[in-house]
Amino acid sequence: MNRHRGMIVAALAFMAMPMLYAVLTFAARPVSEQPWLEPPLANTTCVLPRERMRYDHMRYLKSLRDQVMREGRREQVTGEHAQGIGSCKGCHAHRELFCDRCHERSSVRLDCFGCHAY
Amino acid sequence: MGASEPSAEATRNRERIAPDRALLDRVLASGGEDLRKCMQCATCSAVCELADGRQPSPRKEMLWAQWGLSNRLMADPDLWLCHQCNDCTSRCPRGARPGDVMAALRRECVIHYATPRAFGRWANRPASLVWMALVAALLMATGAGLWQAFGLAAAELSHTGQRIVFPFWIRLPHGLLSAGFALLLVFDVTVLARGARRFWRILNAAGHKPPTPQPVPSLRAAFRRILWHDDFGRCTQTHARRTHHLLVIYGMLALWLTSLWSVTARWNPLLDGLVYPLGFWNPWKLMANLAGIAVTVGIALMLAERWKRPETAGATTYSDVALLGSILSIALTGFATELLHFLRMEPLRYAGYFVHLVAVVVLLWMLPYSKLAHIVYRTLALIYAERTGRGRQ
Repeated sequence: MNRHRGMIVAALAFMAMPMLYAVLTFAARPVSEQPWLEPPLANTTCVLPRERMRYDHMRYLKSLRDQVMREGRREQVTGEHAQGIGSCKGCHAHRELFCDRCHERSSVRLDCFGCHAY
Repeated sequence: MGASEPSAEATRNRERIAPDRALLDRVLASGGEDLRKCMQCATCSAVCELADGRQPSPRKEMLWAQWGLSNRLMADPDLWLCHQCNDCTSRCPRGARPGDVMAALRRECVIHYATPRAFGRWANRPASLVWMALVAALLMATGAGLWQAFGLAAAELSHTGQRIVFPFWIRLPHGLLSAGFALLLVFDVTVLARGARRFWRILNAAGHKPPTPQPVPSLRAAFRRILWHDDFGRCTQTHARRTHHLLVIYGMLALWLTSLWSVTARWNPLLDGLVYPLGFWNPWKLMANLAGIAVTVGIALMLAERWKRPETAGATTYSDVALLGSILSIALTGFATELLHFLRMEPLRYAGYFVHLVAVVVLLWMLPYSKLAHIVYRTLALIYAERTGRGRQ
C-alpha cells in the first residue's frame, strides 16, 4: 500500500515539474534591451540609413511636413513615397508591431495617430 | 369496523413491484449471462471487502437484477462502490459471476442517466463506434475545409508578437481545434452534469439522510480514496488492477495537462521561443512521452489480464473493449504521429495526426455514454458513501 502511495506522490511531483520549469525559465529570462520588431515586409532599404532612421525619424517626418505643407515642394514626396507617412506601411505593415514597440518600451507617448491613419 | 387501515409505517414501506423485463434481458444478453444461476446464498456479500456491513452487496443486486427492479438498481450506490475485484465471482459456488453482473448493471446505469437516453443506448452498440468515427472525421474535415475557405489558416503570431505559432498542420489549425474541443468539452460537462444531478437526487431520495451532513470532510475523504486508490488495494483476488488503473489515470492526467498547456501557446507569456514542435528534451514533451508509455502499458496489462485470466479479470463485453481500445488507439496513434513528425514524413504525419484527433473526438464524444462515465458516477457514490458512513461497518 505504501509502495503505491510513494509512486503516486512521485508521479504527481513529476507532473508539477514542467510547470515549475516554465515558471523558472520565465523568471530567469532577461528583459531584452531592444524590443522585438516585425521585420520589414519588402526586401528594400529604408529611405534613410538604419541608424539615421532610428534616431531622427521624427525630425525627418517634420522636415517632409515643412517641405510639403509650408514650402509646397514635393520633390522628396513623389512616386512610391507620395502617401507620406502612409508609404511606410509598404514595409512596416503593423504599427503595433513596429512603431508602438519602441515607443512603449521608452515610454514615449505618440499622438500622431489620433489624426493620421496608419 | 371495516378493514383496518394500514399503519403509517406499513404505507411508507409499501412498494409496487414494477419489474423491468428489458433491463433483465439486457443484463442477460451482455455481461450477466450467468445471473440466473444465483441462489441467494450471499457468499458474495460475505467475501466482499468493500461492501457495507448493514447493506451488504452484491447479493441484493443479484436479486434485484433477477427481478428486474430497475428503480432500486438505479438508486443503488453499492453498484458504484464495487471495483470489480471479482472476489465474489471467484468464490461463487454456483458460478453466477456477480462481479460481471455488477459491471453490466453499471453500464445500464450510465445509459439510464444519459441525455438523451436513446443516444446512450445507441452508443453502446458495437456498430455505433464506426459511425461515430466517420462522423468525427467528416466534421473535422468539413471544419478544416471551411477554415481554409475563409482564409483563416496561416502561421499565427502570438499576441505578444514574440514568436510565431506554427499550426501543426495548416489544414487543421489550432483555432479550429481549440474551438472544436472546447465545444466537445462543454457538451460532455453538460450531459454528465445532468446525469450527475439526477443520480445524486435519486441517491438521496432513496437512502437515509445522513445524521449530520458534513459536505467538506466527505468530499475530502472521497477525494483521498480516489487519489490513493485505496479501494482497489482491498481486493484480494486481483491486486494488479490497482497498478494498472493508476498507470492509466495518472498517465491520462499528465497528457491532459500537456494538452491544456499546448492550447495556451498563443497567449501564454510563460512560453518562449518557437512553440511547435517542442523539442524531445522539453520537460512537457518528456512528461507526455512517459505518460503515453504509462497509459499504453497500463491498457496493455489490462487487456492481457482479461485475455489470460477471464475468471478473475471479469467477462469482457463490448463496453470494456470500446473504452480500452479507444484509449489504446489514442496512445498508439499519438506515438505514431510523434515519430512521423520527428522524421518529417510528409504527408503521412498529417494523416497520423488526423486519425489521432478522430480517436480523441470519439473518446470525448462517447465519454458520458461509455464506461468512462464512471469518473462521475463512482465519484458521486464515493461522496455519498462518505456522507452517510456507508462501507464503514
